[in-house]
Amino acid sequence: MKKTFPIIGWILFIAIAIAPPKAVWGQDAKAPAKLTLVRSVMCETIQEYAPAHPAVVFSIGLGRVSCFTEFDPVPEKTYVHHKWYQNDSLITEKRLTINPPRWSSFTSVQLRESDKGPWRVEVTDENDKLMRTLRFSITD
Amino acid sequence: MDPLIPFNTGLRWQDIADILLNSYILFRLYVLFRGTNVIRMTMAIAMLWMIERLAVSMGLIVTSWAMQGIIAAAALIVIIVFRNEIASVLQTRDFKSFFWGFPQRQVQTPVDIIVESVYEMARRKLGALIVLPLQKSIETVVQSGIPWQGKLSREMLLSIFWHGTPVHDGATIVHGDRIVEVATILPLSKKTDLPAYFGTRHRAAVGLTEQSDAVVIVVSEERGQVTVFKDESIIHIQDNIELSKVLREHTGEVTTTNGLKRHTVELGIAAMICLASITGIWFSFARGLETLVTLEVPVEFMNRDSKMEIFAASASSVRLQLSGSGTLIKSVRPDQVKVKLNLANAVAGSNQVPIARDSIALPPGIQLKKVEPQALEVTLDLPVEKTLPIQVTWSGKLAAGLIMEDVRVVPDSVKVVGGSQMLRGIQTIYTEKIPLEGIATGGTATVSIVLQPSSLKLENGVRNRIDVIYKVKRRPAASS
Repeated sequence: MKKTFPIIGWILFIAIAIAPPKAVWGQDAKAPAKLTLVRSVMCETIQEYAPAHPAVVFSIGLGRVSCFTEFDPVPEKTYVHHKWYQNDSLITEKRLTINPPRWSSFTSVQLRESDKGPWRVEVTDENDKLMRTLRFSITD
Repeated sequence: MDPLIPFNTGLRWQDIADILLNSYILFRLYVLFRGTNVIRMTMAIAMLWMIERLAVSMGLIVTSWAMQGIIAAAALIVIIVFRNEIASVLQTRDFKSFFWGFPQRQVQTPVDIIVESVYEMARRKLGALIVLPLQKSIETVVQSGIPWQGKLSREMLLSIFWHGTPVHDGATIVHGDRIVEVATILPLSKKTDLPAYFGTRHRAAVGLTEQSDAVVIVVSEERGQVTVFKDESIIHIQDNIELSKVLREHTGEVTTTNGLKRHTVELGIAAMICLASITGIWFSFARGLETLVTLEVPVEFMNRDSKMEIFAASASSVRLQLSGSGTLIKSVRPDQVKVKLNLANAVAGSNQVPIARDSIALPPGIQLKKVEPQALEVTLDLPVEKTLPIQVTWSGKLAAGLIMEDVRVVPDSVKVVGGSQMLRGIQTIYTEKIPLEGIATGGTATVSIVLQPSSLKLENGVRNRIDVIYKVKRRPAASS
């Protein structure tokens, strides 16, 4: 009896040491934080790191339109893409670096006369998974 | 390069053969039917046809229609009325005589026996009525005859017409060298201008010649006078030589050099007229071959894979430049010209389908000069459904000082049906343009969506009306 106990004790100790806590104790481990897009808007400009005059219709006279995105949390350094489409045609794609713990970023396009019409911006993660679609129009 | 051999005149060897063949057919018809009423009626129809062509060339629409109707009716009438005559001509000919021979009008009628018998009866003042049919059948005209089928002889004829015999009181019909029927009743003429001394025999002879091409010999019982009736003409025979001459002409016995020559000349003239007529008709149809016309013809697509649909074609019709005679070109109807493209080898996606000559159906005598375009781009695809988001298309300019801050579309997506490849490149369905000029506050607009390309269709039963709910706010004053 005295001889067998240390063996069982060692086996139990090793099992506890190598098994994940949930498997052994049935307790929930805290899930790793996921990159979350908390805000995305089209706006006329960016002022003091914030979108100014968010809208869905922009006059060509503004000369520029921006897509603002805010992520919280950002668990680790990653990348997102802003894909600008006019009438289902990809016009430009921009890759943005996103850093922990939270991050805001934006892209802009310069407007030309030929840019009038319906547009959309697709925000995708580094795996090209669609996170949000923003639809807007460029008018006179 | 045109494989046909052109002549200096512009005629091809096929054209020469065409003219000669049809001329010969016309000549043979003349030879077979000459001397009958059919040929006279055919001539009349030909005259009507020429009048009809003249009316067409002069633009007399109603006249040309009327002539066409009369010609059609006349052709039918000729066949019905002269069916016996046509049948007798066709039935009595052997295969060779249709294409080559020149049939004699009567088979070896012993004219001398008839002449001798007739003058013997005239001398004895025996009344006689002898019928020599030619080509036209008289079966439907005469009645109550007694079949005889006896070989023709002087004694036989004298016996038939001898006073008191049971069969003397009617007409005797002679075919070739046989007496085929006796005591036959002929139709009486209803003419009122016949000489007073004409008795029943004379009136019957006139009646038969009015309705047939037969020759009828009458011997007067009172006066012993011999009279021959032929084609409504009355010939008073003076002597046996004259009777012999008349009968020989009728039976076609050409024994003299002059007779043979006249026969040959007649056929020669007929042959030349046939050749001239057909040449004229041919040139009226095929003259020049230089007339050009351009037709826009719709394209029919055939033999496509039943699973696939045609979603687009670079053109739905092609322009065909056709040449041919003016007459033929004018008579071309749209339904006679067809362009059928075979899509049996077409695959999903874009296909270049050449418009080959064998895919174009043209009426006879019309040549194809040019096709535009020479190939069509046809897009075939498997029809699929796809749900697409709807986006508003704005136009114009929003009033200064206003910002459109939000737009919502109800419903926000729509199910469309289209080609799988085409739908792969379509991510959004757009509304028709909504003008911004009148917008001062938020509101709702009901608009349609634009299905582009046109082959895109809404799912069955889906209503093409979309509500656009928009919010507008005042632009905040610029901070100093």
